[in-house]
Amino acid sequence: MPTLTFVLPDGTRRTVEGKAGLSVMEVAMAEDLPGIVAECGGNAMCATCHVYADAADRLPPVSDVEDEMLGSTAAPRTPASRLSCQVEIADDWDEMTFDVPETQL
Amino acid sequence: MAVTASGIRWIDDIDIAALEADPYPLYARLRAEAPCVFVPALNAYLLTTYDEVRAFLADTDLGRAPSVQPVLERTFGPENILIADGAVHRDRRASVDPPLRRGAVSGYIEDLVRPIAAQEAARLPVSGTYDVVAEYLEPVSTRGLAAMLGIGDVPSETLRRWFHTIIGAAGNYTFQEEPFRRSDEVVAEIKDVLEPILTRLETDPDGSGLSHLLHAGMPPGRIRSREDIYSAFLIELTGGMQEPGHAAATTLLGLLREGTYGEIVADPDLIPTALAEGLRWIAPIGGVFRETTRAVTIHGQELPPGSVVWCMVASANHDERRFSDGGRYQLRRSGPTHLSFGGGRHFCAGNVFGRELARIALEELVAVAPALRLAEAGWAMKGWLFRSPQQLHVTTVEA
Repeated sequence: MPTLTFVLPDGTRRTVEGKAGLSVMEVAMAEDLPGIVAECGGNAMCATCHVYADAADRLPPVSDVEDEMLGSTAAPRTPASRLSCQVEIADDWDEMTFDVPETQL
Repeated sequence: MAVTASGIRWIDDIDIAALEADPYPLYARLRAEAPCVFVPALNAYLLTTYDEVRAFLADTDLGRAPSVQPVLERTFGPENILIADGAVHRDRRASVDPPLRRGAVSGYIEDLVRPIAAQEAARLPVSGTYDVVAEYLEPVSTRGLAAMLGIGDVPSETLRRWFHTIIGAAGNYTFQEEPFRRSDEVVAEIKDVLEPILTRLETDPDGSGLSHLLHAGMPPGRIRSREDIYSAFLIELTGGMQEPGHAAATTLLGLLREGTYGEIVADPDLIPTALAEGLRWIAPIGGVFRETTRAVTIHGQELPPGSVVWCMVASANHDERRFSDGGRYQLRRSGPTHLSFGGGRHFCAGNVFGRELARIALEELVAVAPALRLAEAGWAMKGWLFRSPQQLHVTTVEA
């Protein structure tokens, strides 16, 4: 079972079990994780589920649609930036860590 | 009990006039007793709880734009951005979205909207009573939108008349002829105004919203059709003028009623928070509808494929399961995000622009009117699909 760790802006770490096939955003919402807003509900239309992936190179590539929306995040975009609704959890992840930005709006 | 369309007498007795006056008491009863139910007066299901509305809107495989949508088609044209799906919808959004994305908005919003808001605020009386909706919030909202679209020369009064006429048609669910006839006249007038601007932008594009409607996402050397442009323009006009000014008006009403206006005067950085709560408290657009693509069971209610479902975001935003004392405006509220911008692929394109415009409007207002209170004339509010204070009379005294 993949394990997801979210690091909140204040440094708090929240570790939860992920389920293959769900998006990182869906897991975060199910946990009521603060800092992931996901206003559009997972359609890459709002850029309010922005996260920084610690191991971005282990994730599937950014699609054109996600790339476009990543240009509109409230916190700065970095090479580690992803929209968590567009990142599907995979069984072979083992452990994966995501930093939650200071702001989404 | 008599057998009726829903099997529940009070639901069969729901009429649009009661919804129009104040839908919130009815939403509360629906959430408690029948959170997903067929309402004969709407010939559709009404879904009123937060988690289910959010999930339904997000699931774009389950809910598509209704196949028969006479009012919106009549007002905004066939396959308009509100009701299109798939490739057509993607093209519509490609034409509308570029100047409305956060990255674009943050680049121009201060230069574009701040001078308009400051100018309108400077016209307000230093002391006295006025309707802040008509005298300030709607003018800032309409002029801000017009500047973004690239029609800043059109007088504010004209824009407001266009807006109110189109809204009258878009909300004409009883299909009266007069609102459509009046909107046809206004659309003809709009085309006369836009045509020379569009002709110029064809060969001389700029960063304006209209220019993007012409060119964005199109293959080189081709432009979007006039019909598509006018359709998108009318929708931007209605949505764009409505959300910012009306969200700001609702927010202001909440702050003044609860006695917390002074807090945003003391700390204008609270204004985005105040606006988010205003949008939650009274959603400017109360609901959106979808048609189910397959059978689904919600709250124990079995909906066959092809069911039309009104996702009432206004009700979801008050859901007791998610918000305590949701009927009250509370500046420092915690809890989930409101659903007033909808969700899924039809998530409001103008959400960033609207919030930023409303923020600047309130920032300039608190700067010139630090001592504001509700006037005796009070406020007037009606509407269930479109709801916000139509008038909001305030009294200001010299600081």
